[in-house]
This record gives sequence, structure tokens and C-alpha cells, in this order.
Amino acid sequence: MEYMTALLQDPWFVIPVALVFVFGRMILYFRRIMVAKKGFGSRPWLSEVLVFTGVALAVWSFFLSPGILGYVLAGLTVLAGSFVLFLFSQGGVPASIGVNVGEKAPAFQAEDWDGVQFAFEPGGGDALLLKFYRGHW
Amino acid sequence: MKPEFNKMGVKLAAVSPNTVEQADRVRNEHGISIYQIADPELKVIDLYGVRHPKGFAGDPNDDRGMRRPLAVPTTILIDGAGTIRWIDQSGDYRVRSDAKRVLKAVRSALKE
Repeated sequence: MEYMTALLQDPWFVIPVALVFVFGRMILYFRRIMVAKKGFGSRPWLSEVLVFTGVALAVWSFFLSPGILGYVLAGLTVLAGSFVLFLFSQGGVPASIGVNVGEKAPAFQAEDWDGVQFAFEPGGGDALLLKFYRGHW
Repeated sequence: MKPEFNKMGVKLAAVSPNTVEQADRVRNEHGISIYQIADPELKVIDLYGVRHPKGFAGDPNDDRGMRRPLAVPTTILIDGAGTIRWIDQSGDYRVRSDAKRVLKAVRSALKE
């Protein structure tokens, strides 16, 4: 316990830990498209806790007079961490989806990749898996 | 994954704000074989209410993509009778449905 307290008093322990927490999570977030294996209901709250801890540690290090380099690194960590937390807060499923399970799917017509008209009529006999995605990558 | 769906009699179609040319390019450049529907005016996307609230109402021809309108990644299963059986949606356009999970959900939804 005393050892922990001593470590938390040392800006050159606190700042690197904060850096790793915040930037590590950031790199993971932007590196690749994430695939939700367990369903979208399982929000990655763990990473939010991680980033929040990183920001808190960086703020704490301000009080340990870490020197100019320390202030700069801790400041960057706070900025980046706040940005990531902001991104997380912007996530979540929009409540505006226009269809519900159990309803009849709306019919539509649109052009396909050959420019040919595609007409969807519900109840045409075949099941259809419609994937909406952002397009163009 | 596609043959699995064929076996179950499920057709696949992907809808995106791509124009016909962009959808065609996706096929050629990325070798994607899932049937693409072009929805540059977001007609289908709005019909199903899956326009991304953070996306811009910008120009779908803008190839750099920063100002293009987006659809929320959503997977919707419609059975042979036209009834919606399963909806899977993500709030983050980086996050997609996992193939195995979709397959499992489709199986159990159509078995009932």
C-alpha cells in the first residue's frame, strides 16, 4: 500500500501509465474496423473506464510538479483522453430506426450495381438479409 | 458465408449510399461478391430509418468520403412472408456484425 502511494506521488510513474491508457485505447480504436462478436449490447465500458482513469491520472500529475516535459505530456494525454471520451459518448444506437421486428418490411425499388432496377416486394417467398452500411471504402 | 445463406434460401443484399458507379467499383476493386444496391439519395435508407444522424447531407459523389451521408450499419432479416424477423444495429460505423453471429441469429430466427 505504501509502495502504491509512493508510486502515485511519482509523476514519472503516473504520466507514462496515463499515456499508455489513453493512447493505447486510441490506437486500438482507430486501427481497424471492430467486429462485434458478442452483440452490440455489450458496450465497451471497460475502455471508457481505462481512458477515464488515464485522464484522471494525467490531471493528478499536474499537482506533482512534473516539470515542463511532464506538463506537456500530461496535457496532451488529457486532451486526447477527453476527445476519446467525447467520441464514446457520441456512440450508441440512434433511436430513430424506422422499422421493428414483427412488422412488414417496406417495399422499395432502387438501382443495383449494374444500374439495373431492383424491386423488393415483401412476401416474395425468399428470405432477404438486408445489410445497410456506410458504403464506399 | 454466402453459400451458407444460399443453403438456407436467404438472399443477401447490401444497401449503401454508394452511387451505381461506386457500387460497381466496390465489386471490382475489393472483390466483394455481395449484391450491392445503390442508394445515393438515401431513399431506401430513409425508408428503413437507418440514416446516420452524424452523417452529412453532403454530396454522395464526393469520393473523399468526409462529407458523405452515412447509413448506420444495420442488418435486417426479412422472412419469406415479408416480416422483419431480426434487426442488428451498431451506433458506430466502424463496428460491423460478426459473420458467425449473424449466421446463428438467421438460423434461429428462420427455424421458428
